[in-house]
Amino acid sequence: MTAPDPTAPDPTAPEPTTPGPAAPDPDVLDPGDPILSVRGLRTSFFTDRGEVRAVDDVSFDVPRGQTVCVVGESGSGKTATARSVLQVVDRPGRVVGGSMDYRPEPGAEAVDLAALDPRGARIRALRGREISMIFQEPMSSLSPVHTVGRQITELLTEHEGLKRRDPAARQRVIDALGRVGIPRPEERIDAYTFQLSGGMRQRAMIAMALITNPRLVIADEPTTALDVTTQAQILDLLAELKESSGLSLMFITHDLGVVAEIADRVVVMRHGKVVEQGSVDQIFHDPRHDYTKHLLSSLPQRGGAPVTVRQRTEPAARVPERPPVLQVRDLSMEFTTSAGRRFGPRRKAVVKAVDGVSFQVRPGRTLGIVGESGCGKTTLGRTLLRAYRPTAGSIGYRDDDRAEPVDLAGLGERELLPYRRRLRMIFQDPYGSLNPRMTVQQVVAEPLHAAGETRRSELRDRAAEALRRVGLRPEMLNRYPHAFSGGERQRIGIARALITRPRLVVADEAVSALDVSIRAQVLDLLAELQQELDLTYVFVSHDLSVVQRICDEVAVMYFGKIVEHGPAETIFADPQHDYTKALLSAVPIADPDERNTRRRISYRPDPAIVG
Amino acid sequence: MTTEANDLEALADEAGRSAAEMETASQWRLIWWRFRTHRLAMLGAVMLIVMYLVAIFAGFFAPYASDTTTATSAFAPPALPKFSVQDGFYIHPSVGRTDIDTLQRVFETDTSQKIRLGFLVRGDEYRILGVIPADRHLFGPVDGDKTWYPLGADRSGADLLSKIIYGSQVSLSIGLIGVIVSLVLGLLLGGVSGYFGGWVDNIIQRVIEFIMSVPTLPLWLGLAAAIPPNMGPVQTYLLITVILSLFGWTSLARVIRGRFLQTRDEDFVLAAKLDGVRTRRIIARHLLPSFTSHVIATVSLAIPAMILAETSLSFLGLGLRAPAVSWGVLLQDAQSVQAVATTPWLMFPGLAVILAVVAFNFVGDGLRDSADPYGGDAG
Repeated sequence: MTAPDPTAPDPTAPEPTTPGPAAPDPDVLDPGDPILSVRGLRTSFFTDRGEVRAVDDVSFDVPRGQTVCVVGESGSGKTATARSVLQVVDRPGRVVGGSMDYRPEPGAEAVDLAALDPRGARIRALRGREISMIFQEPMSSLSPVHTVGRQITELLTEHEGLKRRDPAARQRVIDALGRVGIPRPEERIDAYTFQLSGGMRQRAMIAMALITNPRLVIADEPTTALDVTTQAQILDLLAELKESSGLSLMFITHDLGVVAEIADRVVVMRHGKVVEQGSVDQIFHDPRHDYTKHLLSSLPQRGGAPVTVRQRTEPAARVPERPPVLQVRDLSMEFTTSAGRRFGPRRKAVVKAVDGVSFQVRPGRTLGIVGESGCGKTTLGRTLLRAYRPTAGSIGYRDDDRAEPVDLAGLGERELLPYRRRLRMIFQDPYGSLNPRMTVQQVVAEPLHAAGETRRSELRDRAAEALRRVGLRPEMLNRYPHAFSGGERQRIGIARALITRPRLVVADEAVSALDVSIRAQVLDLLAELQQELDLTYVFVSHDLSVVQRICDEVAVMYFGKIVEHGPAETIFADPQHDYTKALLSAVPIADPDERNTRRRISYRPDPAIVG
Repeated sequence: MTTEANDLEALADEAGRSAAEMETASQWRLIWWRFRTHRLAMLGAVMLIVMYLVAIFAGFFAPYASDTTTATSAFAPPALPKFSVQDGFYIHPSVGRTDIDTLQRVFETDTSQKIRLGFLVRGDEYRILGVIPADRHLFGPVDGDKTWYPLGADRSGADLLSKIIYGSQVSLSIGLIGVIVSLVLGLLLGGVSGYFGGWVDNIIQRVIEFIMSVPTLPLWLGLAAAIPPNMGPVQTYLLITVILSLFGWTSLARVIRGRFLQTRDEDFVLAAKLDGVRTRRIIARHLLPSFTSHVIATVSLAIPAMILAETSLSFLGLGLRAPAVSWGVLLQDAQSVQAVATTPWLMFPGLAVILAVVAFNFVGDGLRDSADPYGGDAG
């Protein structure tokens, strides 16, 4: 069956095909007979600057009826591997070598996917019918100009020859949508993607992937773009569907927590190569390769839970009477957007991003603000620093333990200037937040310059000192941000925040754009600096494991309001509010043994978000 | 697919530089390195440099002054120099007469005589940069009173090559000056529009749309007709520039406004605001530098449009008029079919226009591709 292809080297037939009679039930789990067997796969991108080997001699098996997780950090080639299987690698990349033997039935003759023409009829017949793919970003993977139903029906017309208007086809799509847990599928089938919430869109993607009853599903970071509660639902759904339809799953992710939740086998990739593979238990409990160990140890959940920060809660406890640095009362931030029809009267729509929030932070402590995307936590952080002028409420800031609090909410730009030095921000995106046209010294010393310091030697010394403090070398001052990796750039951002010797630092998702291993380092750095400089942090994050690791207090936000607020230990051990419970139960635990030991709780007070 | 370290290496690779050099390379150096790898753009840049040098030192490069005419040589065809070891470069002189029957110009070459040609010869007097008097020419007949028409002669018997070279002074500079005026208008109005937004933005945008919707040619015609015919060439030239710029600024203003809007929302601008940086410094130090390169690229693509506009105005007889020399003025002679049939060399100024426009476009394309050296490349 293998088509001759001169470019593909002879696959060294990894296992003999059992020339047996009729194949047994495909649902039978037979580890000796993988549905997909990848050997020596090489995928390269041919750019102007030469060949970039994204996948370099990768071999692994996907056992029938099991879930194989491919994990790795950004740039490890995991996505390229997934796309190579279906030969849908983005230009200018292509599969240049190796074999991918796909065996639809146990014992059936293998099809070498690597040898097929990427645009040929043979592979098109497999794509979407026998092997289907779930993409990371459902908004961009689904067309916004067709209804969900139409896009799913297209698979049926393409692969099964059904007519588009066939009521049977429509019924099948409705069934498929229902099967993935979309409520009222008979209505949703005519919805456009932008009318669905992120979770619903991803469900629709999954319904699309499953409608032709494929044998192998490749899921490329299907939950990365989703909130943690939605991610939990999607993971549960995939696990359930795997059981009920006996499909095999190849799951690409960077999140070891997710791996622990769903994997049977794990393939760890780095720099385009497989560094280790094995069963999920072996990988998590007995990792052999140093890189795997490193990855596991940098997981916040596992780094020996109460780390560095937790150890120095005593001083704060010993001196509980220190007055709060920040006292926020009934803070509200509303944005008006002009909505409405193009013709006809304009309505002003008011979005309450922050809605009557009150809390206080004591010096030297860390307040975590957690919540899902769109809950207003970033706006809250920015409003505290007066990037916006709050609509109502007060931000009482005390520059000194003995000083009287000043209400920042009402100050004008000029009056704010001295406080801009005392309240600083660390940004989420280490790329966008550093001006690429300025050297590190200019970036880091800019706040000093703004404060009126113009002596060159002073600026340089202070910048050098700030760099040293965040673990960078002063020689780097003359470099431009493009010379640094994401983690280093984030350190530069921290240096910029600290150069004015601030009292309070708002860290807005300061580590979420970083790879796991770098994330741990930056968190350690932040904890260290807090102790050294007596800093107070407001830590905005969607990542509960990070918050648990470094925060003393936690405020949980939901639709602009704080629904629960208390010491971190209490919140994590004994959450009171239903939303907090749902949020906590959704966090993947990076230990395969803990799988299925918890009950997921869902919190749906507002029918709008079911959407 | 590449990690960040790889990005830097790849970038370094592409520019043929070491990673260490890349680390401290400023934006302009990165742009230059990337621009250099763009072959067509480099070719265009070299062409432009040569053209502008020739225009600046026109008196030296042109064999004759722009007002030297020889009535008997009207419509003389191009004469290619011949070479002999004995005499070096030479041509045979030719004498023209008008055929009584056909009224065609007929030229007879006198092969018995030779006009010797040479480099750095003495000829018509001119002033270097309008100041220093000189009479050396890069090439020409050794005897300055003899005539030679490397690209033929026009109706008045003036050397076309010299005229093209002198014409480039006007044609090439009108593009630059016109674009500078447009740029000032565009930066000002586009910047105001983009930075302040709101109703100011609304009004400026509507004005731009209105100006863009007016058909340009009739409007040019009207405005150009309003230039008093008794005006000197310098004033006409300035007025033409103003007229061209009045329409050229709209697209530049739009580009600048777009860049402002885009950059205003970047994290690093918010960071600067939270650093306590004043608005004026945010604009000057953070916003402007991040799109200057894009603006330059846009500008370099706007210059050829200006050159073409001047050429078409003059071609239609509405811009500059003789005795002022520009490529458009020269092309007026090539308007008739007869000219194309009998004196095709009169179209050489068109070739000069094409070369200049193509060179500017190459450079503009190259600049646009290298304007943002920090990303946007595949891989």
